[in-house]
Amino acid sequence: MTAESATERAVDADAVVFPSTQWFEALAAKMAEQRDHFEKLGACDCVAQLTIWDGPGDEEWRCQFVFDEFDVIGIKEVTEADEPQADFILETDLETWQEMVDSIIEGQGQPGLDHTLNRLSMPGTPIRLWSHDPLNRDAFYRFNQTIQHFINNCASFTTHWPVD
Amino acid sequence: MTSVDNIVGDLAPLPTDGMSDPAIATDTQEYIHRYRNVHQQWGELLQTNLDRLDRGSFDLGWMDLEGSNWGTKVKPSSRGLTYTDMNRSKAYGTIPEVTEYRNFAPRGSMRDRYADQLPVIDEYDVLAKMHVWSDNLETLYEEAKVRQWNSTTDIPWHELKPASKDLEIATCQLSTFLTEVEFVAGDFPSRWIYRIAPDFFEAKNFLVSQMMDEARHMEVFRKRAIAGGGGLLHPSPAFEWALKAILESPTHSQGTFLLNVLGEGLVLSIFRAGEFLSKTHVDKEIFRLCMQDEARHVSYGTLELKAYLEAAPDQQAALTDMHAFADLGEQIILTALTDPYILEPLAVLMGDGIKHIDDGMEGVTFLWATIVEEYLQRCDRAGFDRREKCTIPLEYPWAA
Repeated sequence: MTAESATERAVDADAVVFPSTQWFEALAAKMAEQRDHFEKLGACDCVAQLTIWDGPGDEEWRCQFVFDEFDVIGIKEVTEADEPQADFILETDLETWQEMVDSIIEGQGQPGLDHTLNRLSMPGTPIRLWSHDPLNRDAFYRFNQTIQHFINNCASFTTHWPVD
Repeated sequence: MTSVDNIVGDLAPLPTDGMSDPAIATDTQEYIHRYRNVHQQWGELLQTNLDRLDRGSFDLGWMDLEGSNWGTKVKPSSRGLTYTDMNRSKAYGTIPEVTEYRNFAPRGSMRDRYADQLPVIDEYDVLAKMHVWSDNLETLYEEAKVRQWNSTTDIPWHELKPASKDLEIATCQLSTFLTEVEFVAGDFPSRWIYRIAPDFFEAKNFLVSQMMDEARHMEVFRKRAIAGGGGLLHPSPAFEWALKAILESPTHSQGTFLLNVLGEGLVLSIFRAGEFLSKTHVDKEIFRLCMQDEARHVSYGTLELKAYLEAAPDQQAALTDMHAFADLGEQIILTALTDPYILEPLAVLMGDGIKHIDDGMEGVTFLWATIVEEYLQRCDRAGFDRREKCTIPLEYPWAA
């Protein structure tokens, strides 16, 4: 992240904190506004979980969001015990997520070649993709374009990152 | 009154003498003979119809609802009326373990009373549900319909700028290989759709969607090879033998295992890798869209294998037979997986150029492990434990 963009974010009153359920609710709201676009990509039905290893208080932070056709109908913070409810889990650290968001912003809604979800998760690092069920993990592949475009909408609002 | 003999006898002969191919002429004569002299029922039905018209009388037998499912309600869900919604009703959603209907009369229609009049389609010889069904079939079919894309308009072709010559050669070689693969991935379902009894129309429909997916993949990789100014390069003999083995699988369940679990699982990982190492957004888009389709086929294959092994009358024998088939199938796929026309282009792309092909091989090593592990996981999921039996090396046999 550049110093300029960091400053800009720090003073933006409308900035949405990451990680938080509000951040994903902002993405869900954008998705709802772009129904035509997401209808073209096709219905998406899965429960995705994001885990940030170094979340608030340096604790693991987990959030599940439920894709239902062309909407995200449920977003909630969860605990480790809830993990079996997710079709797949994307685990990473805050820095990786921040780099990805910065790349998407720089690309005006399109991540750079090295910052797509598949690119970052394919080698198992820096994002670890896993599931309790290999068939459910495959949902990440089946709906990849929708999930990527869902995240790409982070370019439409300002993210506030925790300060070390 | 017109007689059957007259109707059939008065038909003008097809101009077989004008056919340049003697085989076609012979086939046509045989066909005419069969429908004039062997199959008599259609002529009798025609006579009945002509008699009715000649009398000027109506036949309203089709308004008789006795024995029909008239009044059965099916409720659409929030996204429309899906097969899942339809099949909640016992009347339309009861799928036979083995069907006796080898004609086109729809499941749930009043077909029993016509049993002695309906033709028998000899080619419908896949009559057991266990050879085609999977529990996710209806869901995947709906998903396939709504997640179609168009390789002509959904790829930003005008943005395609090849990175460097060696990378473009590698991309074109990979695209050539993938074009070959997609032919068999479409032709295998086509070989079976025709043989599957219509009572399993959900399976036929899904396989049609797979054919459409594979046609689009063949199209997009052909276009990708040519669009960058390179072209289609070397076919892979090793891979073509693997493709032939898939196509000629003795049963649909065996072939589905070989194609959808093993082969498409491998290709799914290559698509993921393709997206990973793409040097342009155009290539990323292609691989991401193909990845989605491929994952549906792998999902179908995994649960079809599970359903087959669970429904087989002699489960132990089915398991033993499938292991024997897998022993050979894995070796055949290994022939393809070790081919230089596939691995070396991937290594060049992973190494970011021919100079760094050794570095790229590290990526290929990782990809190999991913392919094998995901294959074993899917086998586990299907209740088909290959971990102790797998004949594909778990680690890439590369002496660096």
